[in-house]
Amino acid sequence: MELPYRGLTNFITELRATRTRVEEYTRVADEAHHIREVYMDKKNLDGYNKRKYSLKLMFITVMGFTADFGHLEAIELIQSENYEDKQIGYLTLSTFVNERSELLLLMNQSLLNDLTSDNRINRCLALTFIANCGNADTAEVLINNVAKILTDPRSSTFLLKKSALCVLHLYRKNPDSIQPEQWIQRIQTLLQHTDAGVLTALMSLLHGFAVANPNIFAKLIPHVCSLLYRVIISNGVTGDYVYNHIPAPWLIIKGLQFLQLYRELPDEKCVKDVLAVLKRIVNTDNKHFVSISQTSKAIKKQNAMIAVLFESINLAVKMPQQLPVYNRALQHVRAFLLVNDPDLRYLSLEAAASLCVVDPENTGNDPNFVAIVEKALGANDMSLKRRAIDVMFEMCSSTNSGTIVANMLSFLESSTEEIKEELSTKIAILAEKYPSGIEWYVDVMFRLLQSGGPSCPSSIWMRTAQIISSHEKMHQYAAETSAVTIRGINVFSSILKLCGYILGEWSNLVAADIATPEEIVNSIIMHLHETTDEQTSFSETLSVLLTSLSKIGVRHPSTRTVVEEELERHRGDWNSDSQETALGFRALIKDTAEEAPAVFLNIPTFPVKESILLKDLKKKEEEKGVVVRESHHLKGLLKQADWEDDEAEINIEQPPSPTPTASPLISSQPGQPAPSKPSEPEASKDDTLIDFGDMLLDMGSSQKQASPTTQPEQSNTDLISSLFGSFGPGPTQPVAQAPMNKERVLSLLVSGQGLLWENQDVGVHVKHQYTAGEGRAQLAFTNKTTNLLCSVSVAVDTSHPLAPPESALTVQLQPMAGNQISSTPLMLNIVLLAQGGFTNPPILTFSYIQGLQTTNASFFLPSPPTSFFSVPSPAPSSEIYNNMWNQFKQQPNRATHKIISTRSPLNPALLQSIIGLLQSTYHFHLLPGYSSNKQVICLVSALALKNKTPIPVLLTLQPHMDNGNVNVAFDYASPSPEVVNGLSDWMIGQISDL
Amino acid sequence: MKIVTNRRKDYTHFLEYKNMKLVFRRYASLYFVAGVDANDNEMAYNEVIHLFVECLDEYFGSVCELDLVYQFWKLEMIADEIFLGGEIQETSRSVVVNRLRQLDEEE
Repeated sequence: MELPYRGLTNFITELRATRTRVEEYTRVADEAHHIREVYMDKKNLDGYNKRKYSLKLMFITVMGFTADFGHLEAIELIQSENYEDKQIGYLTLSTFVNERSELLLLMNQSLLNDLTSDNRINRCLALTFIANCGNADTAEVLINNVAKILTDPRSSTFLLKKSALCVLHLYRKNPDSIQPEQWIQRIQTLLQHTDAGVLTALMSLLHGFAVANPNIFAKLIPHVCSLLYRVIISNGVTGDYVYNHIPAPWLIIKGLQFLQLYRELPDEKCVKDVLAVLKRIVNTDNKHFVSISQTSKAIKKQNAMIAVLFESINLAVKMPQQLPVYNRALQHVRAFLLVNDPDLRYLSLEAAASLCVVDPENTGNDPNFVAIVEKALGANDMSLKRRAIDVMFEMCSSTNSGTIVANMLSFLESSTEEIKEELSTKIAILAEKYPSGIEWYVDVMFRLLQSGGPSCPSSIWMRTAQIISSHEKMHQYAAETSAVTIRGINVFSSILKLCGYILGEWSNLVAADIATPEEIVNSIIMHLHETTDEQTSFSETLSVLLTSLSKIGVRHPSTRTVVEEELERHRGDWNSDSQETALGFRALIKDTAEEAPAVFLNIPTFPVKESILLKDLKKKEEEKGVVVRESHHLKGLLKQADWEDDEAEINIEQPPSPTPTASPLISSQPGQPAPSKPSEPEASKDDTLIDFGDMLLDMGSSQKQASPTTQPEQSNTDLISSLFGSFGPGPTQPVAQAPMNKERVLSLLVSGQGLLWENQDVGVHVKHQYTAGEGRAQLAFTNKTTNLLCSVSVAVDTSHPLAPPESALTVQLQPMAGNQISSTPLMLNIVLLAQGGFTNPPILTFSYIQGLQTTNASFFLPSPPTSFFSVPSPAPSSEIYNNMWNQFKQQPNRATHKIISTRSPLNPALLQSIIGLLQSTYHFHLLPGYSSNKQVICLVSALALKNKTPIPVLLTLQPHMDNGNVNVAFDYASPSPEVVNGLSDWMIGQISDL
Repeated sequence: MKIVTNRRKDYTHFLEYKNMKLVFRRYASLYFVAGVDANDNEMAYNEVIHLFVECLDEYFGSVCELDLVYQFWKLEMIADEIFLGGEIQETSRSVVVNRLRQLDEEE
């Protein structure tokens, strides 16, 4: 082929001939100098030369040098009417610009001219450039012009493809520049298009929109299902869109990825379509995907088919109830795991990780499967290894944790550094989550720290120390293990810190035949001597060891002299921190020997919070942009049932309570002010420490843990509180009264978050929201004192006369991350499910111990029935509303009539604010013209119920403004008398205050 | 790019790199690498690389490395017809090649 632009060809040839980077650089610099001169002169600068020099600069840029001139000349090229000029101008500019480039600003006018040009090719060039290089500003200025091309029915297939991807790019750069919901109709129309290229680009646009707004685009699921059916089953594509015998594989993949965004398909037709498609794909015989050559034994893969197959498997895994399809998918994954091709094994491991979540029976509980995955763990290829670790992590459960953790540990010992950190974090999480015994946990963690060595993040030993200290039964075993471990030499610093910490706390639990206190002290001192001053990272270890040495010295007087000598030795340390620590402790031990034991108290138990390890892992996954797999390990809090068992046993050892358990209602205790005193709700907003994102994440945690966790804690507290009750100033007197936080509940109906209740010790902040009969609330208990509040327990009070019956409102408390409130707030997540009409919001009882005092309290959650009110969507017409009402015909309609006198004289403005309040706070919808009497204002709403038909509520208002009457007559009607009562009690008080 | 070129033949064609995956294919001494979202379909991009190479082959007529170096802007033009804004735009080889021929006539 004859090459255009001879000067350019020569330049490239010369550059290729250079032997060193320096030579190459010199040649580029010469050329740049030459081009700059030509540009300055502007002589001989015709179209051909402009293009040639632009291309040279482009080549220089592509080779990794920067060309910081020639930009304006390139812009001149795109302003030319000649196609070649424009084409090369745009290409050059696309290598010059970056996100923040001011060049883009200079180009806006030219881009606009080309977008609105009559010439299709000019429009295509501008679209291509914007789709590759446009930034947020471009989106603001030009998106409407791009959108016009996509909506224009006359646009050619090329314009449609390019404008669709251009809209997507600009939407990603600037999500506010466009409203995706306005595109539903156009996308729906274009999904009928016959050109597979247009459909491929369009599916990308739809997928991109739907990832960010899944609910809005759920409407298009049926259209995508029938598109897939059309393409695969009815052979809807022709020509070379059929690629290696598969119709439009990339289009199918986008469609399948779109469907994976949704939990379920909306109707039978969709299920039918999708099943037909999936069946066709997964029922294809294995040999169509992979064939082994008879002669060379090489594996020949049909990549496109494999790509489609694995995307189908991803979707099939989400539908395990569709057994035939699911089982075939499973068979494929298992078969490919055994194939001797790294790519196929990689893909099947990836698929296996999601299989583990839905189907432990065929994965983690199947020894064959586990063996296959372990084999992949031994591969040299890091990509395969990473996937295998993922699968191991996902398939671990309480039944197989012993083997899996052991295997991962032995793998850790032989693995390379780059993977150790991730691996050791994962092992630590699994060991904590599925411990098969106390000794097992301690052994695993010690081995993990030893094998992981310096690669173990320090969060691991800290977390281990937390877990051990909060589980008393572990103390002795951990202390003895530490005493043995610390005798060794070449102990890594993280394990040294853990041993030091444990021995400092519980050296007295070590049996004398394992190690005497003197031996322990000697071992610690040995490690203190072993290290040299250069090890700067050692200073943390040093201070842990010095602290534990001092604690042991105080606890065992026989070791005191040795300890004092060692502390004395650190007087001359180069490190000022350790010098200070040593001197301080020495002074304490030596000079104030009687007080020292009080200073060196055992550290109080840690409140078990969400593991820092899990947080680290989550953060990493999010950074990677991984849509977090529905992994059971990454969800919820780490307080596990296995640990709970231990605590339950401890409870049993307590002496039984001689008195009946305290009433959960507020108990007034002598010497304590009334627990609830209302204050300004605004004051609380700033110190709301709840992260809403966390809240949503935590909400995903499994609900079934709620009852086993809260129950033992409840009994535990009652037990202790009754024990302490007898020491206290007097027996607690239960007083039945309504919770005191009604005012706050009313203000929370508007704000969605704020202070719910407080007394002198504790503040409870809440965030809450309601959709479709389901409410979610997160409470944050904050400690206002400087003391630790222990034995915190929260329960739902269903026996209170005001409490809604359980059949009407289910209140589920999720497990809390501990039962103490320290300086960080304690979180409680609550799920509320409305099942029928009810009157009052649910009541929680709450108790805690501070010092020797037990405090009991109760408060309303901010969830009266009106919280669940939602105006039917779309906004009801009178006719729709009548239909809703008629569904309840057989039930007696209950109506209540009340006349309210407002505090200030009734006038149109006040009336307007009453209606405003009803709409904003109580979710009523104005229904003009529903009543024939024009004086009557009709408002409607409905109590949304979980998975049931909503209960309609009608409210009519008749203002009496004439005759000097300042009354409003309210008429409610609803099939559910409870709802009517709820409205009367909660709303009318607020309205009459207006 | 050493991590790709130094990779052993019997390893996977997928590599985790920063927050994405690199999917690559090798043609003699030429490597084609695509950066893909971590949870996207690796094999689909592996194969679209092949489609790209087939288009190059048909357009240049038995493509070789020199074509791609000396007419690097054509390479970009072809890429712009198959990919756009980080997504796949067109998957029919004949549509892509005919389009390029048509554009060449404009010159």
